[in-house]
Amino acid sequence: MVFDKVCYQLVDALLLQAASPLFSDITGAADVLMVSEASVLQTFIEAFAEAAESPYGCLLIGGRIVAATERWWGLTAGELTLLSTLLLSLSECSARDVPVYLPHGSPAIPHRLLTFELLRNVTACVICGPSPPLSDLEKEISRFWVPAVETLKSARKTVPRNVPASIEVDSNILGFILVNTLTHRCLNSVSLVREGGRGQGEEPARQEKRRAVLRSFYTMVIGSYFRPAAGEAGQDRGPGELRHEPTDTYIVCSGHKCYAHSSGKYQMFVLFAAKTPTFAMRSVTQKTLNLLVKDKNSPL
Amino acid sequence: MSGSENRARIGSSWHDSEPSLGLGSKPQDSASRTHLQNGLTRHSKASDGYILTENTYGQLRLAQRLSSSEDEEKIRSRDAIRQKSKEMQQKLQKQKSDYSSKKNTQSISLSQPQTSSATSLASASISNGGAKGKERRIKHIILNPEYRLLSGNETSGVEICQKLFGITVFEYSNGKSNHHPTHRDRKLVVQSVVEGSRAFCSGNISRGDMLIRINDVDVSWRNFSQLLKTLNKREKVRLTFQSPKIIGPKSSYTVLQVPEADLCLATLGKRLAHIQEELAHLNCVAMYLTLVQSSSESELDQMEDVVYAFPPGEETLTALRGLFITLSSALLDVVEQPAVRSHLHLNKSRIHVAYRQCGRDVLVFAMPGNRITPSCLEKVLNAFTSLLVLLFGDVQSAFQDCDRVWLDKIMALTFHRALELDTAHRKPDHIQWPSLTSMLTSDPWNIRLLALSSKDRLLCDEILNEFEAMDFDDFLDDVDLFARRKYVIRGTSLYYKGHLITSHLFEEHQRDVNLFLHSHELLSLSSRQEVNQVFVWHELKFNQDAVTSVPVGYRPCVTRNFLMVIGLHHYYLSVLVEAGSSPDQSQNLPARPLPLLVEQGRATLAQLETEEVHMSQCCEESLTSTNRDVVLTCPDQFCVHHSPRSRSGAKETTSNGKVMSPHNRPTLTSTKTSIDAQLLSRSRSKSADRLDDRDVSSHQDASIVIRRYGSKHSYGSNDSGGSGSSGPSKGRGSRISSATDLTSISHSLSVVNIDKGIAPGGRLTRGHDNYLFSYVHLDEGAGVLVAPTDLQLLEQHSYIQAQVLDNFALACHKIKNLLHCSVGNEAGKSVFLSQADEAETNALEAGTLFRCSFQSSQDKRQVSSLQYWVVGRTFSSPRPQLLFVCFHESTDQSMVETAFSLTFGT
Repeated sequence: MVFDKVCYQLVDALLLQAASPLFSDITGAADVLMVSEASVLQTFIEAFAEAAESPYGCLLIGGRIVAATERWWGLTAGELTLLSTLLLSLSECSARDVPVYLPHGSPAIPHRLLTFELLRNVTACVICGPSPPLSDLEKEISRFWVPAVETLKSARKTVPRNVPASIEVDSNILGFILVNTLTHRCLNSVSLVREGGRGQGEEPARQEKRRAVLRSFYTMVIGSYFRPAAGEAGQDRGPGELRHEPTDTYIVCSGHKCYAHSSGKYQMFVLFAAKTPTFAMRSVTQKTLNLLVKDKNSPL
Repeated sequence: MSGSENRARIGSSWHDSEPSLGLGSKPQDSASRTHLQNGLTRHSKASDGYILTENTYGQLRLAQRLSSSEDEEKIRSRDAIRQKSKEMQQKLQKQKSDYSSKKNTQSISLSQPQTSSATSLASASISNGGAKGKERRIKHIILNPEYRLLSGNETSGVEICQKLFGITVFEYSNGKSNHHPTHRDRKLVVQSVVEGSRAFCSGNISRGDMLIRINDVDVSWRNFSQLLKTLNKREKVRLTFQSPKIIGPKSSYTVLQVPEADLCLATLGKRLAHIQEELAHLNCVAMYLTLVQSSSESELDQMEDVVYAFPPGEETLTALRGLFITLSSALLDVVEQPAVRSHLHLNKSRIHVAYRQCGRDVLVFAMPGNRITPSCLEKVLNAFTSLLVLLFGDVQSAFQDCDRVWLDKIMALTFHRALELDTAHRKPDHIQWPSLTSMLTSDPWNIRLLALSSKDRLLCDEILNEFEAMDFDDFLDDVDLFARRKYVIRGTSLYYKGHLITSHLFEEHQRDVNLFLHSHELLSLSSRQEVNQVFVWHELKFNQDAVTSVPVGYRPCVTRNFLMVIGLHHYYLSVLVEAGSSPDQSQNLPARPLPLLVEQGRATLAQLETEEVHMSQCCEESLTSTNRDVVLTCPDQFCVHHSPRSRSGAKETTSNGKVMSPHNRPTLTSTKTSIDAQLLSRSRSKSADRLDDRDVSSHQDASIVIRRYGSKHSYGSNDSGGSGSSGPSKGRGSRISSATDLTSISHSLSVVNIDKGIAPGGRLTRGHDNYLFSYVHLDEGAGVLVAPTDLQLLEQHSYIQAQVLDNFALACHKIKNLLHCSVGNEAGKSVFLSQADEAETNALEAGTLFRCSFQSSQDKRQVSSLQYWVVGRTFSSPRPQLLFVCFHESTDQSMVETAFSLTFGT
């Protein structure tokens, strides 16, 4: 019964993926959050996972991974994105025990995915075997997480910017997707600039549009110029037909400009305002990429 | 009326009076006709469905009457016979020279030049006649012998020659007494070229040519067989021919009448059946399927849903037709969008299928996936349906009404081109990605513009204007004057060797004409050989909806439009003729062209080749010259070399500028150095310009120089546009000139670069003042395309450049698709930015930076790399245009911006 309901919600979420705030469905990489409190939260989640006798522990804010144990990151890209999608699709409840099959790790034997909502939109989860029952672990929550409440609250403020306020991104950038193709992590944002003043109500709609533009730009570039992050390059009409490796590509539309840059393991897709000069996009993109990658809190 | 009949009578009587010699009696049988000239075979219509045509089209005669086709055929076959026997019987020529000169018949003298006074008189009066015939032309032809055709028991050299090269040598006495000493001293004369053979495809060997050397060994009947037997099987054979001296005018030519003639044979050198046979092995089919029940009899006719299928023998895919028609029409019912394309796997091979729904019918093209890409297939189908719409009004009526034989031919040409059957050496299962040229020709609406000087273009414009005016009242009888009124010339355009010289047509009409010429393969024909025989007369159904907002009470008269194309030498003159401007005549118009128009058109083309004009020379120069306004540079110069050990150091050099290591110099050819020198001198002269404005700050300096160059250029080209003062060329001349303005791009690029180049030092002194690798300007609205010629690209040839160009072509494809998709139309919206606002999704520009790295041939540890941009931009006004530029990465983007906006004055 419960099992059925999980599926329904997941199917709904999959069908509505275009509207999801995450990009994991097209990038094939887990959405992450860049917070300045990353190292502190990392120790918290590791301690909690240890208490649950599980190597797999993860802390999510708004469906994006803030901190996770090493083994969690060791899951394959497919598993990571599937777990994120599942966690986002589940209805809100303080604690939950869901059986999951990991398609790569244990396709035959189900594991238990335990989730705990610490604050609103903040979820800690572990994957474990049969041993610690949900009730036991639920009692431990307050012991482990009460000291972290303030940190979590400040970290939660990073959403929806997804990048700490300390990092100043060029004001022309309306949104970006940054994918690490090796570790399968993806940092993205469509609300970098706080547009105070005129209609706060318009902001969600504008973000929605930016997200749509970025999504279609991403799929366009990945299909034709860059190789997909997930590595399933089965297309014969893909980038393979090009003799030389494309490193940058851009498109100028009447309403906006998009720029994509690929260097090594990083792929960066940036949405610019229409007023940005075309020639400036390359350097701005590269600077922003360096800024995000070199930062000490960088989750990538 | 009487003209041709008269001629026929004379011709026949002349022929009858001729004693038929035993020598050449065989070819006189008109049914056994392996008889050709200028690469064209003439056949009788009855046997093969295309016309045997050879008439004596005399420029001397003012108006030629085209009589009914039967009569004509009679004449033609007689003419052919007459000419054949004529050539066989040179002995009789002396006696007949009087007569033949009067008749303007071609007479070929093999050994003894004969100049009777009458003949020379005739040739003098014909412009394209004797002057050239005086010199004996030697031509070398290199052929690959077809050894697999040899059975091994050929005895005579004639037989071997025919099988190896497809050249039939004229056998005196049918080979029986060829040991006779008098015969052995004779020349080897080509009697015919076997159709479909390589010699035939080369189009260079004509009947009457003398074979004088094989592999540079003099050949005669004495050593002919011996020489052929000792040929090395692996090697190509070099045959040397001597063209005969032609006395009198070369006035006789065959008429390749489109649509009646056999296009396949003429343009591809293959018969229709031959092509169909080839296609039968290839899993491809074109079908027109219908869901409409045939009302007549409801017998168990299995194939009643197939209105048309090509190639006829196809069974596998035809059997699947139920699938195709269901898919296409069901999709329309369910999602209200027709199917566009699908794939299917048949015996492990992939097949692409494209659909076009027309009412309740569907047109399906299926082609094998290893020969064509899906998007190309879609384009092919698109072009084909557009052609049908152009010629028949709509697709449905095209398949119901039109001649199946014609459809077969067009289909054969379409498939032949799409599947690249002519490239025999292609690897299986490997799609050849398009080169720059093939990309340019892939879109049948577009045609390359020949870069002519404004003076020459003006001359062409004037000549065409004179023709368009139809102002030849003084020379006409009243009858002709009256006939002329039925027609109005809407515009003309002139082509040379597959390039557009100038156009006085409206843009959309120009596109249609281009499409017509492309799909009939006439353009490629004209670049291969002379097209004196081509004549087209076809009705075009233009979209009448274009006329909107008609005032109340005004009924626009229904007019019919005809396309007339006349070929002469390598020229085509395409004329759009409007008929029926007076209402009573519009219904029953003759399907035949007005002889007057044909003749005047031909005279117009002849004008281009007079002493003063010699336009073909200018065109050839333009085709072959590399010294253009837009100078391209070789990517080799921009390679940055670094060894992997010192990566960090290498990076520094990249940012600092170019490291010109000596290792890349050897890859440049020796011709390159001269070009360098040329570049150097160019840049010197420009640097002088620059120095004049030295006191201004450097940024302003750049823009000032650009402006001056740009304005100078546009001034010059406006001049050419405006000077086509009378008639329709006024607006259109300037249309072309906007395309020629492209030259200023390279100027601005190079000029600005000098300003920058001096500071880092070295660029100027080495002549690297140019960052431009390649460009393509596509004026889609007008169907005009400007790009560097192949020769110009070859001049800079190197391995890297070839790669860069290939990649440029591919990237252009991608960018073009992208820009097209996002401009408005429904289908494209799904590709890019489907959810975003439509108003904001018009893509204006797209670019990609490529990096290529490769190992230097001298030093394996050294890795060279090169980065370059490919940028495409659309211009929506005044017409949709696309400009693609390929340039080195170090070019300042703001400079490119300036160049873009400068070129088109936006």
